[in-house]
Amino acid sequence: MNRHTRFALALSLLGSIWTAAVQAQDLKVSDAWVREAPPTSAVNAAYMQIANPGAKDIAITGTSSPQFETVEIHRTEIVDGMARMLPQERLVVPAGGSVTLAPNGLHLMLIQAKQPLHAGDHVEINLEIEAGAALKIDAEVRPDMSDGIEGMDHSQHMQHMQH
Amino acid sequence: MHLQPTRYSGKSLPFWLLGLLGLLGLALIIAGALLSQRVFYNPPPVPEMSPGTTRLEPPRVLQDFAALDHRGRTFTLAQLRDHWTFMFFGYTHCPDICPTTLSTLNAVARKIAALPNTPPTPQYVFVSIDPERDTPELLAKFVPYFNPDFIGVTGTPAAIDALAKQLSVLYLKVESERPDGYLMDHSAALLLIDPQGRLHALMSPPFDTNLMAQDFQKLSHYYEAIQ
Repeated sequence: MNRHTRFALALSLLGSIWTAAVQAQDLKVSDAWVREAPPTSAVNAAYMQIANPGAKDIAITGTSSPQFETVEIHRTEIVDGMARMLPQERLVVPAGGSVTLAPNGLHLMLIQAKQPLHAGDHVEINLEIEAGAALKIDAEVRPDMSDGIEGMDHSQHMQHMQH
Repeated sequence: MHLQPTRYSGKSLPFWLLGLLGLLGLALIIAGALLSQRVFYNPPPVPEMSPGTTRLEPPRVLQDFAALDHRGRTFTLAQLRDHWTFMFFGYTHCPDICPTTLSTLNAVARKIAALPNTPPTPQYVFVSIDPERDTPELLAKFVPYFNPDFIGVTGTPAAIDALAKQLSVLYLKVESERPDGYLMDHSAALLLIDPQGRLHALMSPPFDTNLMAQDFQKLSHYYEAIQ
């Protein structure tokens, strides 16, 4: 999203704060987490479930975090054996449905952490809704549990790394 | 005058016959030996792989290459010999699939170690397809974080290219608006290299770590049985 679009969006927000507030409340975010990654990582990813119990589709058009320089919506896609990431301009949460952000799929790409993150830390992420509201999310930093990576295993590795 | 068997014909026939019988006997023994090997020798059955795993028959012989590991040491074909190697190509400025795959490999490593009738411990290698940004120092902070035994490999773009090409690994730089923020498209498969340094099998996502560990066990046992 370029600066002009952002500005235009900001203007349009002013006129629709009330609608926006209602819309933002309509989104239910659960299980938001950030992968515990090497503290030196230039990039990281946040995952979550976003449900929209309302009767209208809701589009997320911007993302940010005070702890990162930039946050972008991306989708990892594997086509013919090639993995690639596709930036998404918007993420539509369908009325009465939900979208899942999970490893190797949709995710928020967190770029340039202002401070290194460790397991147990919390990341504040703001989702900007098309109509103008913003939804603040709290995502916990934790190890990738997608394949039974036990926390203990990980802490052992951490200790090893500090040698 | 009485009839007398001619000594000549009586002598010549057994010689001739004996020689022939001898040859025939020898041929029979050889044929029998060959046949019994065919019939009674059971080569181990080719192991059946899970749908994500493809065995190469024959395995692909690799040419030498000159890369660097995350400790700055030379990493060549010699480092792929005498043990199995799981190899993945990725880059550290990759927020999703690369750390996910390294976590997957860590789970595979644990499952292989826990298998009954333990197969030989493989090594796990993460090769950077972004050598421009991924220095050995950067890999040293990234790769061992997932498992202290994992090895990060980088090198000159030419060295990485030489290795990737032989393994049919593709990668492509995708420019971004952010300075230094480019992304890489890259092959998502995991490669399995045998103790002779040959490409032996490919594993494709979605990864099931239980099946991967089982496939590895079958492949390594089969490999040992046919040596």
